[in-house]
Amino acid sequence: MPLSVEFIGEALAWAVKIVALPIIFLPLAAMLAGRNRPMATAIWTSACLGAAVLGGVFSWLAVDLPTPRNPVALAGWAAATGIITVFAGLRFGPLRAADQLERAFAMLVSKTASFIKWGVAIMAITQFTAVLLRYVFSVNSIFVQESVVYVHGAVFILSAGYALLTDDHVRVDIFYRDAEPKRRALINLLGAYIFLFPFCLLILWTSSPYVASSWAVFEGSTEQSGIQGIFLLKSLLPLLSLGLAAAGFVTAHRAAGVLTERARP
Amino acid sequence: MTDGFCLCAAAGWLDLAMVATLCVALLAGYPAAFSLAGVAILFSLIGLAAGVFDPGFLKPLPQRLFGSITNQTLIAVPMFILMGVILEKAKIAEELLDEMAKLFGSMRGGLGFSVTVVGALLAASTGIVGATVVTMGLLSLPTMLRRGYDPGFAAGSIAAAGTLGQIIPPSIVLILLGDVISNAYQKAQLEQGVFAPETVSVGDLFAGALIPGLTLVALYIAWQAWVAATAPNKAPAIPAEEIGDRSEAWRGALRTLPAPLALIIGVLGSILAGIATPTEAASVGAIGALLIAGSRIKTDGGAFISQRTIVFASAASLVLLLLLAARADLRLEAGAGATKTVLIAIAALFSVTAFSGVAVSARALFAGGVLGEILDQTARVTTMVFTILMGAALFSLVFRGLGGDETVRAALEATPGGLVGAIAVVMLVMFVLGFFLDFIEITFVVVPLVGPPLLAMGVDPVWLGVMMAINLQTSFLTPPFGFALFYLRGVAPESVRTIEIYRGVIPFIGIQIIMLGLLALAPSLATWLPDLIYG
Repeated sequence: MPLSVEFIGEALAWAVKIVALPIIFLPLAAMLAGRNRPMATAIWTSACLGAAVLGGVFSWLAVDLPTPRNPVALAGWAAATGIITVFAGLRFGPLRAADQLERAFAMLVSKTASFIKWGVAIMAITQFTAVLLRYVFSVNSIFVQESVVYVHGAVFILSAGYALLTDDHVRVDIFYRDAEPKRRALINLLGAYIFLFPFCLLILWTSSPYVASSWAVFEGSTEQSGIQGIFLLKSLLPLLSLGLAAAGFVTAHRAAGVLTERARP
Repeated sequence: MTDGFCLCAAAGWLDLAMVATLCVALLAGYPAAFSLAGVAILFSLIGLAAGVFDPGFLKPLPQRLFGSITNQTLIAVPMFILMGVILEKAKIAEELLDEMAKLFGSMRGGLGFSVTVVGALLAASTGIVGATVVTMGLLSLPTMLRRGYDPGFAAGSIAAAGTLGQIIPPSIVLILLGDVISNAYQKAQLEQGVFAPETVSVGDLFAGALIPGLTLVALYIAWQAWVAATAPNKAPAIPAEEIGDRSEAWRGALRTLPAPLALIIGVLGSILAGIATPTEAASVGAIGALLIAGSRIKTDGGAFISQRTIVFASAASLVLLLLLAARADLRLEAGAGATKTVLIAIAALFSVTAFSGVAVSARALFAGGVLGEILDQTARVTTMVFTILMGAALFSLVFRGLGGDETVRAALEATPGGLVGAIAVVMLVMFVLGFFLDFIEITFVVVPLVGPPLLAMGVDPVWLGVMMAINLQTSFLTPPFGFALFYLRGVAPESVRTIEIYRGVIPFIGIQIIMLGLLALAPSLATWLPDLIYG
């Protein structure tokens, strides 16, 4: 099978299962066991496997969900997760790995945002140009009009994670405002695991088929003279999920650091 | 049945439990967008386990999320935010406040008037939480206190004026509300079997909010004048000798005021007149704000043509371009006559001049180091708004899947007092929610739920939107939870006691309630102008 959309989709799904999922649990393991490498690794591996098993059991119990039927794939997932976490955990140590990933993700998220923020200027100028073209020269360009949508989408989706790092997402801060740093850290840690990461996974899970079917036909604009890149625009959804998850990782790990009073490097 | 246990009995209550859990989760203080989404996921899982939630309800999620990217109306939001951030960062808001204070300062209560007027003028920039309250609290409050204003009166004026921007068009809040109400209106009509539904636009809501908004401004000023007249020690005049030359004050005001005023009137006017869509007008507003900033910021001298000259030439050529386009046919087409070709060439020249002004202004802001900051802040606020939209989309889907829509509808229909009772309950609930939630969350979560049933009962959508907006504005002013008060407390000097702030806003809350009452008794205050303009 050549590089078909299905194949790429399947590969990406596996990447999420055996790489992204374990990474999400890294701050938790690092927090619970600190520098104790074998202990941290054990916690990490069991958290990943536990989550997978819980998910499996849940989908088996819930009548309305499709039951996972392919035991080979399930076993493969479990085995791969186990091998990867045990190997990576013992080799690098969850705490050190989390520290380094935190820095890398924070860098990635803020670099992306500081690049994409120029889109705001581009969007305003493009829209302004469209206005001049329309009202002065009576030229209606669908291409120009649609490009504003593309830039707008890219700007707000790719800076969503960054806004998490800069704490710009609105909080109801009646109690949060006066809370101790440790209490705030606890809220941020729990919030990341109970609210944020599931949201990211849900976006990824529901948008994958949606985006894949768009890629399969290289879906374009409904307008003849529009931008033939709806599949790219739709791809912003999984990127939203990844960006938020990366930023969530950073906030979770930092919160864990506050909670355990770890000396920051 | 695989469910069993106690979950069955609880299943019918899951929608209510979901709302209760959301309240608790939000109060914990995790970002609202993700709390909305996370609680929704949690309850979809519980619903799945209990066998009462059909996962098919999550099917439309990617389409909804994608819809928030491609929503044409909401593209106006980042551009209005950009306009506001430019006006703020280029210190134009500060200058306005300063010049107005000099102009009105020699009157009793004059500083109060200037705060109210600037608050109303900065509407576009302030839809998002407390920006004006903070700006004015930092700039005006110390001045007012130094000039011997009563702390409560000063604080009340600032808090009230700071929230005023939310309901005076073109505010971001009204754009969001307009979009949501428009969807709710469509839905209400479709459910009643109207297959060629009437529409309501953001422009309608702008027009509807204009008269009530300006009435509020007038009432605020009237109250301030009353206080200044009856208790001169609460709002004393600045002695004439301290304020300096009167003509100097007028010259200053003439220098600062016309450009932002013309910009706001132009933006609002073009939307109300139906010439431009909100998005188009917003982009002109952002570019206009950029030009104003470019004309104010000083950069290195010695250039061949000064920056200011280019910016003024640019603004002038934009105006000329508009006049030209209104007078002459400039459509680009093959085989145009000589006159037309010349005219088009002139128009093209004007366009180039206009863009060079934009470029020069952007360069000036860049050299001053604020351009990056402006874009950064715009991106962050924009993503905040749209992330809440996405979280709320998920919340609504799950809530609907758990039967929440039906519960809300049944509750509203069972409210004693019929339509009036239902509206009163909704307003009361929104008022209380306003203590905890931001305008954005309430707009995206509550309005889609209560909107369709109310509109199906025959409520006018524009009137409903304006009522909601003023109601929420009142809520943000009300102690002890009002948002505006928190923001003001955060920037007010320690010497101003919290209780004084509370006491100071009470008259303004009274004014708000009077306005709500007027609007309830005479809905035409909101509906007359849109009917007049759009027929």
